[in-house]
Amino acid sequence: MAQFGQALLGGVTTGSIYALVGIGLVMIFKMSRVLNLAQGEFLILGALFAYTLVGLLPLWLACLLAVVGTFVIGLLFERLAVRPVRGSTLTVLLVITLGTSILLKGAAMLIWGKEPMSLPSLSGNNPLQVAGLFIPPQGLWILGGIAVTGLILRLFFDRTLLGKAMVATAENPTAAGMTGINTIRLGRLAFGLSGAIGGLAGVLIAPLTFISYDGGTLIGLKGFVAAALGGMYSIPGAVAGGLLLGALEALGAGYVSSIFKDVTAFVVLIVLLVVRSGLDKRKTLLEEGLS
Amino acid sequence: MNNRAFWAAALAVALVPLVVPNSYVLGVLTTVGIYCIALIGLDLIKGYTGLLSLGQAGFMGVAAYVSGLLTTRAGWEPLAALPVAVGAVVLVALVMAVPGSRLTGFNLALATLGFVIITEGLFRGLRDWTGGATGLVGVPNFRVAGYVFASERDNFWLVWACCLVIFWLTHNLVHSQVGRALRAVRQDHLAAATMAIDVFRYKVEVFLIAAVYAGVAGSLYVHYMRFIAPDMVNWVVSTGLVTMLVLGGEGSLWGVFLGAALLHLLPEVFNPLQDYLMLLQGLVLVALMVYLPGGLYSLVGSWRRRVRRPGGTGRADPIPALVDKQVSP
Repeated sequence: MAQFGQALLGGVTTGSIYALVGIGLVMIFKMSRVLNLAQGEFLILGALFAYTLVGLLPLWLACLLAVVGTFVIGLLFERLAVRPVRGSTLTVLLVITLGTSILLKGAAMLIWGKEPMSLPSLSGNNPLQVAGLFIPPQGLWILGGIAVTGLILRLFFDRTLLGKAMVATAENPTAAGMTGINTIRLGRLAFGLSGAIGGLAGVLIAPLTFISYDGGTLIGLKGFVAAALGGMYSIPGAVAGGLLLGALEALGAGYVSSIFKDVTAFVVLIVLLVVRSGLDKRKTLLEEGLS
Repeated sequence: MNNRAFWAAALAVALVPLVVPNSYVLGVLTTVGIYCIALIGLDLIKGYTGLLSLGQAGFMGVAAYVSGLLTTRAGWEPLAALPVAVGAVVLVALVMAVPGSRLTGFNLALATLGFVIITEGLFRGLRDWTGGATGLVGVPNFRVAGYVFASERDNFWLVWACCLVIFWLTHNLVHSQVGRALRAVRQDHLAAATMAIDVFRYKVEVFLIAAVYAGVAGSLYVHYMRFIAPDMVNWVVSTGLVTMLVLGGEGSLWGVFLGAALLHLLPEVFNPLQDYLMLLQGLVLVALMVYLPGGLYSLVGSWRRRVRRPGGTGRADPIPALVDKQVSP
């Protein structure tokens, strides 16, 4: 039982990271109908920025600046690559984000090299022992990170004018535009926020694992699975999807075989695409269960 | 098709190994030919039908491992293993394609990318069968009736002969009613469906044909290299294929050769480029999508038009193949 709990805890921790990546994807998807294949790169870049800055600055400041850095990357991405082909077919947009993902990987490889790196934990490495479970402090930071992010986003979209304008744009860009909302600028903001959330995931997970320039594809795809499980249009759905995926993976690795840990996510993805008609439906099983 | 161009290409294929004595260069060209076979399939699905499939490398991998395992473990002849490997690929592709209409843009891109990652994970994980990360070694060269295709020259001829045959078949296909139907699907699903084009059936068929080509490429690949490793057929290869297609110019078939040759030969010729390859690939993809969606082949097309029609604008059409040919009512 303790073993089960430990595996589940690990899974939920990793799942929170998938959830953060999934949130970023959902945000861009809702605002611009772009499926961003470069979402995982935001995470990698966040971790790599922090890795460079941590030599010069205190850890927390390095992490904060790294998140600001990925925010800017998100804005630039929208302005330079997505904006010029706005209104193109879906395949063109997919290739654009695919190209950006390869571009960012190539740049990261040239700047940071091929060696995997790691960050120091935000508050030490001594695991806390609660009810027979060992919890690394960084795990608490991750769980706290997803909770706070969720809360802030909820308040942002429900209480602020800017957030409400974004919701309106996502619902109906034409109507939102008619009320004087600058939908183009908000679309760009969504890319920036998405980048920042990705970067946050990166600085949170880096102390627990190794980050290398090419890790973005795998983590980005798992973010997709999280978002798709949650219906692709729902931020709480993406969070639930991420946690579920993390738990499934951890239990699969613990009880079946660790070789196939990464395969689990994609079996879930393919089954999801086959059972439901996939991402084009607005609701999935999970989301229906939530609402 | 344009017979002269085809026979010129065939002649070039026959002569190149006699003119190029360097076996290293020949080997590189053979690899280009293998990629071209998979790329012709990708052009059919992406260029003509407008669907992004990232699964070509996965299909290549399945065929390569099936072919490799049958010849090493079961002692089959490569000539017998190839059709079985392609059959296995068709089965896998059917499983992915048929259940419902999954072949819309997002779903196909994600499902195929997931598929490539699953197959790579399996090739790595099933160590007893596949040899894990180090790969499957000791695969025999291709042989027909006792004749072994061992030299670089033999392999060049074998691969490029297959490539030309596939090119010829596909060229005829895209200039038939099927090709026109595919272009109609690419332009507008609904409009195509109202013209009694069975959109779903065509998409599945194209997906299967592309998988078959990737299977042939994979099987030839393993018998040429004489081994196969997960890194040779992972998602990096899949995205590389998409880059080659976009660079050369999609929806023209001829662009395939331009893209494969350029992207594969440049780093070989100019070695320091190796480190910049990824950055360059990404830049090429984004820049072409924004500024030259027709790829390099569209430049050839506009140049030809300018030569024929003095005073023409010479502006590149976005997708020449779509503009040149008219859709019969």
